[in-house]
Amino acid sequence: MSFEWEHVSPEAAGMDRQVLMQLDDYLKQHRYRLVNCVLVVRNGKIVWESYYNRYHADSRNPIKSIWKSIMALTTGICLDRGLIGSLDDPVSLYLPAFGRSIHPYHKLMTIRHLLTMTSGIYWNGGVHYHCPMMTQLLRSKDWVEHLADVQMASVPGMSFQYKEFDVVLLSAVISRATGAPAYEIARQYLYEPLQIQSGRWPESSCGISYNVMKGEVQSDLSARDLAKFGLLMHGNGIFDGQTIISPEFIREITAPSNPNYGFLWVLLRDGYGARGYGGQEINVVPELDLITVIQATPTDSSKSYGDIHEQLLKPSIIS
Amino acid sequence: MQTFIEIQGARIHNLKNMNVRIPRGMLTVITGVSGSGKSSLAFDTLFEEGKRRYLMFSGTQFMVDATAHFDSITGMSPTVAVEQRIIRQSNPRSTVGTRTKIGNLLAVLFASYGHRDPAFDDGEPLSMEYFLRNSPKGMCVKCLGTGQYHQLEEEAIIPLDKPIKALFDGFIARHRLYRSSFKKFCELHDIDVNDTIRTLSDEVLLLFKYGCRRSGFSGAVVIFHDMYKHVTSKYSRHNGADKAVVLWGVQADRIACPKCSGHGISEHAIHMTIAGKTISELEQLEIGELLYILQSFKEEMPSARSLLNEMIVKLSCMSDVGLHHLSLSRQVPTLSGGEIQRLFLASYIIAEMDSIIFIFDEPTIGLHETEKALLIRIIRNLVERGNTVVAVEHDEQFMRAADYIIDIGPGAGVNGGERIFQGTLKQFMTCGTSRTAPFLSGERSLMVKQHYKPVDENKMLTISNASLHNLRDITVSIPLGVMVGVAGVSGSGKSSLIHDTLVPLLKRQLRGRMVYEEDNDFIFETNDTVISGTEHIKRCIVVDQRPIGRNKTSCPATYTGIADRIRALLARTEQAADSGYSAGLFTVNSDGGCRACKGEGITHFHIGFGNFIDVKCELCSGTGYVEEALSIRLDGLNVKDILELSVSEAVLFFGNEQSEAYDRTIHAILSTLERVGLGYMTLGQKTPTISGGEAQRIKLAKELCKPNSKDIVYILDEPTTGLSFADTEHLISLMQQLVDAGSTVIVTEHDASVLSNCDYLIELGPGGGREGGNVIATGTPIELISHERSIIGSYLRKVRA
Repeated sequence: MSFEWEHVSPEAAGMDRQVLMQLDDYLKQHRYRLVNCVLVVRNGKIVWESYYNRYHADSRNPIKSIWKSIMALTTGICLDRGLIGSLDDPVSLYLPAFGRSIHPYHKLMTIRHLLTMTSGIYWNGGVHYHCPMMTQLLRSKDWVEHLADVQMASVPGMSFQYKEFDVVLLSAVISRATGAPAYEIARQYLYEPLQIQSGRWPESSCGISYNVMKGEVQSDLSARDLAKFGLLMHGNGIFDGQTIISPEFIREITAPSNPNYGFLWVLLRDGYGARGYGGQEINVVPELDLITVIQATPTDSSKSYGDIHEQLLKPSIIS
Repeated sequence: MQTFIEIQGARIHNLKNMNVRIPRGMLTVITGVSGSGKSSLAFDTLFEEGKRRYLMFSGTQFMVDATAHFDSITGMSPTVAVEQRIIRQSNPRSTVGTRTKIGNLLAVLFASYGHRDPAFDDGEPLSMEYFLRNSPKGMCVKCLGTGQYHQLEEEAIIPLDKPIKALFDGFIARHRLYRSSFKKFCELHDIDVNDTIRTLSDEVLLLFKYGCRRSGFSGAVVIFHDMYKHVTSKYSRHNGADKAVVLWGVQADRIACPKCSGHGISEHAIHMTIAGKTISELEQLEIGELLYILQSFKEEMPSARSLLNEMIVKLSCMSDVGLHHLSLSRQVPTLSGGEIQRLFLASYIIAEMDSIIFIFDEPTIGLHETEKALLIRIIRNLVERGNTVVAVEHDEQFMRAADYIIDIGPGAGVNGGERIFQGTLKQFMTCGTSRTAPFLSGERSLMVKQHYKPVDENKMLTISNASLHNLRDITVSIPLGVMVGVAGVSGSGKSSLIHDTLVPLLKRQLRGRMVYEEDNDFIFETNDTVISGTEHIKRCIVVDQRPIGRNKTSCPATYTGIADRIRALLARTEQAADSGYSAGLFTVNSDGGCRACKGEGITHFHIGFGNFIDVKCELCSGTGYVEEALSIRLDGLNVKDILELSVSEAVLFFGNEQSEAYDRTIHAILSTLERVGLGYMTLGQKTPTISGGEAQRIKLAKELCKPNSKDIVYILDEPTTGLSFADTEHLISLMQQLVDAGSTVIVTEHDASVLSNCDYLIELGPGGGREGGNVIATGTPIELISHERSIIGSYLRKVRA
């Protein structure tokens, strides 16, 4: 049985066609030349999809940090399958380098801290989040050893700092727990049942999956495939009648660890979403049964297009 | 080209339509008593106009300027101002290499020409940032570029047998940042602080060590780490980097970072060398040696020649200004004031400009006599290259080196603002109307103490085993009841001894009897340092140079408390009583402030590119007060008028017993302000425009107004900063009065004339930084003159001559 998207007219979905038709003008007016796709799903059906810059329904676009949100789902799968014991397991249980007391705070660090960006590891995001601290990591032979050497800025769990290091460590934990790069779990238990088209995530020589590095293009996804993550989340872990992730874990993903952040998913006023550098967005508004996806070509100056969802797509809803 | 810069009709502030000529291509000193208008001429007229014309010409800025404060200025060139107090540098990441940008050049050299150790060659080139310890790309991730690491054992930090309240000597329960959350934490978990740490359950112990979210308590281990970082960074800023740090009895030796072996950069960059040397090895060389090595590179690397030449030019220049002993890795905060000033000067000389007008603001401040001579030589060097140098200066040695002197006066404030003299030094000596000239010509000289008050061996304040920063475990006895001077070259440890060791210890022992406004209530760990003799001290008053008040509207009137009395006087007038006005109406911080500008009198308009213009507030026409407040008059003056009075004018205004404005307390306070040489200052002068020296004298005056008694210790820091000869004389006699009344005055000072008037001197040295920290001589000024190790002695001899 294969999943097929259903389409529905704006009228039938309770949305204002006139407003949605303004989308092209809106992008022009705001000079959003880099936006490649805007996709609207309501009640599980595609209401609207616009493609630009020669993109089409099958084009794959960089996912950037949406990968982090996918990693949260992957962690849930590991937990459901008993590959990871508990979110409160110390990181050192999986990565012995963190149990050697290189820094006294290391032993307090748990998987939950990695999911909530509160590991306490020192991080400098640089201008426009160019991540200067990643260059040394990417060139090091053993990523975990390198991360264990990085200075600690605060006690784990005490302060939120969005960073790459936490999700790299999470990926390393999954590698160690499952004996294979995190991509393998994602492919087998997430991408395959959701029928998502993706290449293998790039990985380090020490066997850790990561996205923003050489080979990144392989993990690109289409807008429709991104919308499937929205459906999965909105369906409490069930996709097309099949349970992919336990509902308990999905609930935890969107439970606030701080007012704006869950488990590698951002929390919105009326829902939640995934975000990636350069304007990649998945938005889910559960009460409106609305999922929107925006994809754009990333450039050096970090751009975002949150207003499209807030100012145009959401207001187009009539009932 | 004109040979003179001619300023016609200068009238900003107190200047009275002044006409002056400043010779181009020469060294000119502008002198005069404090407040006479020197800075108004040099900075507010000459520099501002030079800057304005240059910016207008280059079209980089949009200037809507108000009315000119002069009739004409001719003979201008681009101007550069070297302002006072470039001296305080506190960023520990700033090094000689980063400040001069030579570090960047060296990084480029390594990125382009370095030799890679094959074992660490991953085939990808290293960019220049990899060689910069301040770049997040290049810095070692373990030590974040510092090259140092502290291994702290948790068992040592949290000894389980200690009572909870005794941990860190009770610091947590005492410190204002932690005490309330700690109290909450104890209540939340039902903890008795008298129990030992061992009694805590594992779960609570974890929270105690690493923090508890519910109570907001940060955790003992975390607090320790934070304080440790704080103390070590303070140490490294004070030349004490080589010492082990002991905090609350826990010692951690400073070791080279195990990841980068102390280089502060990533392992990729460490294994890149030129002629067998890594970049950090080159950075640690003294500039003289580095120069030599770079010269030799020129032979080996002909393609890098232009890059090398650029570095060599810059380094030679630094060597020329006497900085050959520094290394590029030397942290800027550890430099002495003189070294920093020369570093700035070197950058001007490196620029190799001529025909520039340089304006200096008291460049000799904080310099020892030997350092002054070097500075003068460098400044003369600028002149010889074809620049014009104008310096506002009181220093005798400096004035003697000048080609041309302008004297402004005769008095301060409204009594100043006139040109007394312009011409050569020789002509100046014979100028009869100047108050400064007689001191230069030797016709008059500062009084020099002939009879020293004897030291009472039984009344000594003794500091034993002082080892803070660069102090070498010294023991110093300060005689009480006399005037004590603490001398030494910059960086020799004067401040470490008096302000960072003595003052905190006195504060701990005297508690309520200590008068010191200070926000940092952390005391340096001074385990072995003890003081004795405090039983002879009734009160201790620290008078430092920090600004008075924190508020934008702070002024001498509010700080000394006379503002409150003035308001009360105004509220008591018949007119105010009839209208039902209370004292609150007469302050801009309360009911009296204009609604539109919040009492500032001006509104700021943003005009793009980060520029603002200030426009007079329309609602209050620039007064800052509401109309009702201004309608009330006290002996003809309203509150605004009163605050615009100078101290000297106000003394008369409030001192007239026949007037309704008569107030004995105000009169007494103002008279004291006048006595410390601040007669020219207006009552409402805003804090930002008050110099450090002036602030210190306001504080001193405030203390002097209090009922006089003996056995008080006054601690002053370079009180003569920015004072002319006449004012210095004034201040010395004031300090002498305190001593005569039975109190002690401790001054840290460079000025030989002040030191000559002390009864007892303590000289630290012999050099600054690592070369300092020892007591090299003690005794009366006369004794120091003949002391073989004393450096200041020879200058004291000159003062006596």
